[in-house]
Amino acid sequence: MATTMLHKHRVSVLFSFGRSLFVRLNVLQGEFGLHQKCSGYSRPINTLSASEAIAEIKNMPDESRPMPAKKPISKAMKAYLLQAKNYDEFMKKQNTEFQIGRRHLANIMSMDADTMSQEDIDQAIEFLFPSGLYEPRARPMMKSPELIFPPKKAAEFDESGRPYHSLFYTMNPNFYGLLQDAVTEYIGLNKEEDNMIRKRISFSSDMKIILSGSDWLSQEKLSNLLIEQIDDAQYEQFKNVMLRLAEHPLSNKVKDFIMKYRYSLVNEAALAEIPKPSYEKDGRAYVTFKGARRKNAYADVTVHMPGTGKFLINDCDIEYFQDIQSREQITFPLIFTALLGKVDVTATAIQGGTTGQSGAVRYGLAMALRSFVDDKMVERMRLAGLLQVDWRTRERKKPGQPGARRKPTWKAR
Amino acid sequence: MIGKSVFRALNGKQEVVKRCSKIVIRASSTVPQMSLPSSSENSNPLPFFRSIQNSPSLHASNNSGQFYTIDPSIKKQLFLYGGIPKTFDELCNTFKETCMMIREPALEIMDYMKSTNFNNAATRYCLYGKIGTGKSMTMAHVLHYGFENSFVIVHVPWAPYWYKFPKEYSDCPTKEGMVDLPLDAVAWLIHFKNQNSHLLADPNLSVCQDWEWSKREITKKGAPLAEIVEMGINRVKYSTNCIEALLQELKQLSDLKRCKTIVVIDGFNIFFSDKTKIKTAAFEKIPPKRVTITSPFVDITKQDWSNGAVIVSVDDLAFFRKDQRNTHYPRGLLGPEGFEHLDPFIPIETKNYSEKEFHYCIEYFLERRWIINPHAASEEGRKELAFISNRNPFNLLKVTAPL
Repeated sequence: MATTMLHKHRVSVLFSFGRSLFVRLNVLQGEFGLHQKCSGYSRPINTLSASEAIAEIKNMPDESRPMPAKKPISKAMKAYLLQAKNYDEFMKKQNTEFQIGRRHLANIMSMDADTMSQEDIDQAIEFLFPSGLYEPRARPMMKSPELIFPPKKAAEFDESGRPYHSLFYTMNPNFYGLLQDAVTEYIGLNKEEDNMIRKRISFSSDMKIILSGSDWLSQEKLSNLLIEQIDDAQYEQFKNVMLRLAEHPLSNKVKDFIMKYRYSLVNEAALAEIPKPSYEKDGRAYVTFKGARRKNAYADVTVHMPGTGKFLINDCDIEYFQDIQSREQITFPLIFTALLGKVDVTATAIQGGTTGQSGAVRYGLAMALRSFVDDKMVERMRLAGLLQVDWRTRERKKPGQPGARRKPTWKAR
Repeated sequence: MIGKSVFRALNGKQEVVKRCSKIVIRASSTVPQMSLPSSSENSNPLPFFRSIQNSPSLHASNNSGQFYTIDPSIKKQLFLYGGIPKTFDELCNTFKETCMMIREPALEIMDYMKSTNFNNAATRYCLYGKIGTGKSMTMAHVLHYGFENSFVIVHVPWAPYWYKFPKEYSDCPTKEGMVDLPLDAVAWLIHFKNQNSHLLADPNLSVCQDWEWSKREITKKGAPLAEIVEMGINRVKYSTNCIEALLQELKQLSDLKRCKTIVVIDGFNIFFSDKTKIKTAAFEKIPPKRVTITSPFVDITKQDWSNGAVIVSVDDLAFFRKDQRNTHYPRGLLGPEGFEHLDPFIPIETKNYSEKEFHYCIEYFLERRWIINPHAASEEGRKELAFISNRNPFNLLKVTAPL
């Protein structure tokens, strides 16, 4: 009994490490774009801090039966405990500093400290400390310490040096644990498949997961998620295993498991907000989309719904664009949505050149036409690439070269 | 009795049928290389976008939008040395026929010419419009009309050629500061001769005064006009002088009602511009004013003669690229000098295709298999074509080329 009690406390000491760090993925949410909570470890974890747990052990009341003499704690364990304690204290200190800083900032910016969100803090810092640095991560930032400081793994072995994870000696227990989970799921799906075949239930295509619209986490992100360094070979292996699982005809049943390790490619938030049309005095519906961009050009596009197919750009008709390519660009959204001749379009384009202006008008027109078209058509437009800003810009000229890619003339000698 | 009347009625019907077939045969003979439609269309053998009338004098507003065919022999006589735009000429080679659309501007000019009082001073018509809307084509149509109605044709197919791509230029020996274009003048005289070959034989066209070319070479009064033309062609030295003499003679002859003249000049605004590629012997670039070939053609567009018509077109493409004025209106293109010279004139605008004309043009392209893509022939395809080309004739041609 004594041993079991000791075991329990051992668990509480060793698995509580600064507020269950291993499972804290809100740490990673903001920075790495994960939108789902991940419980990579399915075992229950106590939420005592290391120092509290140590104190608990020390303050444990003497049992009626004599306890065996405590085994000396191994040096590795001591080091871990010290590290844990230091980390814990450090994080506490950072947290208090952050909270104080938040209040100061709220005071300076005359905002309410309680309702201030991280976005507000970011905006305030950008205003107070404007930075010309290119890399966003190099600019001054003020965030919760959990977001800034990398997470650390809980202690991986007990006092006696016996590791908790069965795969500890692989050096990447979380990674190989993940692969094993994937295989377990796969075996489960195979059993289900056999059952279905036996019962003569037909398979349909919606039993298989749809992977389009998302992509596997990058090597770096996966490393951060599993708090382990993952090399190229391991990453390839990960992708192969997960793909194999996803290719199973019943993979939709393990969709949650698979999607944990995928990120969405679509900025769904932006596309969900389709503006409602306003109305002119004569009852005509119209929508204006402003700030459509392509290269260095900007365009504002207004679409009037009951129309006759007029198209004005900067008060000129379509002859404003002399070349066919530009004309085809601006016609494409109308042809795609079959609204050519049914709407009136007025556009103003500034800056940029022919290609830029026509591309900007096309994007603006497509975004404006969303309001006059049903959801299926909007989805089709998205798939056609009409609702995506063309981010391509002119490539920078590099020093030592005449152009962006052009190298000096190669000479044999 | 009843039997006889029935027989006569039957006979009458037979006669009518015979007459119809004669008309059918005649129509088919004016369109040599076309495949006729099925026998069910006996009364109108041609598709709706083609005109049965191939004579411009008989074209009327009910033919508007239809295509009429120009006989190859007429084309050779009128347009051998220019007059039909290059792109359109290539199209004609592809289609193995020269078919032009009958459009409003041409009908308007011909209408005015039919109702003009030729006792008054020669009316001047100025064709203007955006690029690719059919100025040169209208001029070709009117030229054909003039040819049919026995006008003496003074035709400059594209005036800027003289100033942008002169064949040869040399300082004028007689006039100081002026430069000659001898070979271009000769080329023009050959063009004139070719176009008016059937009229130059007319004895009425005789010279009104003596023309002295040099001490020994004189064309006397009463000589046929053709002699001046031959003189210019043979003696390159005097070619520009011959042109001057010829055009002055034509003015006088028209006044005397011995002939009627039609002057057709494409790209007229170049005469009033500032620059040419022509240089004096001292390598000084000169304006068109100082080129000898300019003055006879500017002179003939004045209003000091009667019994004729002057059709002139102004085009932004006539200028050098750098000097283009980005306008298609006569006042802008002619400038103050040119406008004063040409004023008063009748402005005729050429526009993009109307919906009907566009429809007819697409049908013609489909029939000639210029457009093969089935989607292009559909209603949606046509809408798209109309939108992208903005129903501009030239643009439509270019846009449908790959289809």
